[in-house]
Amino acid sequence: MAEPHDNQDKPPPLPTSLAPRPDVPAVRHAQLPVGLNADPLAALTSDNEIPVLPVQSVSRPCMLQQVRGPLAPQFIELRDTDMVLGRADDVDVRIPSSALSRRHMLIEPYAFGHRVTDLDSANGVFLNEVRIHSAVLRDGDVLQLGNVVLLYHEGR
Amino acid sequence: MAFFVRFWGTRGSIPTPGRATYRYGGNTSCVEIRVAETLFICDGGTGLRELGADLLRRYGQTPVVAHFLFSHMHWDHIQGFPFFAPIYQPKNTFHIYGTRPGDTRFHDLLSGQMRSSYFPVDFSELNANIVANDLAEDGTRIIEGVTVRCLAQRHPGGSYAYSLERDGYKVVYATDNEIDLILADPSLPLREPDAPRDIPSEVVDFCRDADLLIVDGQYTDAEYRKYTGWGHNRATTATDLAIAANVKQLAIYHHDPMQSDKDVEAKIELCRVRVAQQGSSLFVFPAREGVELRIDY
Repeated sequence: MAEPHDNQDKPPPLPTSLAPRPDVPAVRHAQLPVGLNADPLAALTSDNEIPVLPVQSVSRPCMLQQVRGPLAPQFIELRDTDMVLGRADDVDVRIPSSALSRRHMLIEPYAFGHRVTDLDSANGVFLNEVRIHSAVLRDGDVLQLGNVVLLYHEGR
Repeated sequence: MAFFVRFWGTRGSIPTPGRATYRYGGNTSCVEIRVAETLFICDGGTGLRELGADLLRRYGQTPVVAHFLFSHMHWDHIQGFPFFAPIYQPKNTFHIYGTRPGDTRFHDLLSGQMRSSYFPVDFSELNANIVANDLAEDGTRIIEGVTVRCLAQRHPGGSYAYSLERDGYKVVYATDNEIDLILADPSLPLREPDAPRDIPSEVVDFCRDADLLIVDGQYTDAEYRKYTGWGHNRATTATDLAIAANVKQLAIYHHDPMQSDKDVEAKIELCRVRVAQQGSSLFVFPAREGVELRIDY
């Protein structure tokens, strides 16, 4: 059974920049990224209460929202290249959980979203409770890897 | 030897693209089953087009050899075939199996949908080697170490289920079947909806101890009242079949085109309640496009 909200009182430090950096394997956010569940009405109202239409839409990348397990809560920004998630030091998304294999799951771009593949992990990858080998993700999917629970958000 | 099972099309009757079916998919019947290097393709609905594109990517210059097991020839099970890109490459070979010796019906009917009145490319112009093959008199054949069996089902025009076994693992593909019409007491579900349904032993035995049963579960009980005789199961009857056959995992398949993603989830919930009522440990889930299972856990 997953342990709830490990280290929830110790959020990781915010990155100095949200722009991709070659020395940072994956961009992580401790706070809600722009455009994700933000209050849309707040952006539509000016100081004098006259509604103002946005002049451009807000785009955001695909994200995994980690809601359980070590380092949760955090948002993991998914790149347009393959990423490996696991507990090893040299993976793209490292989560220090003993329930994860060193290289647990591959996350790869697929069509307009992402596909995940179990890299022969010991504890498997469960998608909405179904143990899978691979799957194309859809918005709102829940992935469970040992005690790590991730929620997938499609980009736009 | 692990089985890899990937759903390329899970919808019944007609493709249903759109937001309402985004999660479970709108492509019609197509399932890829891989056992080591051996590739089986169960049905060629519109999901087959995307499987074809994926095979081109995966195989590159390596020839593709695949074994087609068609449940039957209704549109939603064959419409992807003309758009299956590997059939246009001469290096590839595809076996189309009949269900008894010399049975070329499926091969012949596939070619029929590619006559010029229906499609611009004639079957005879396909570059790949398309082989009319068959199962033995008893409906069985060992294909590259995998034992394939077929079972005739109750469906308008007829249909077949297939089981594939190797090294103690078993996957059954059984779509377009109306078991509800062949129950020992077909009126029982109306009188006592929660009572386990008495499914013919021939069907139960065919599915016995499967690691994965992919089965037609098109309708809820309420929908079935309107569509009795259309050739498809109640999902709850499919669940009873899986429980009776001691199946490990049940994939409810061939979703009705009128069912949204939420409807599919509600249908699965009804099946899970039924599993709990019968004290079973069966795991039921909705077949979903783009999901691949590994059968050796």
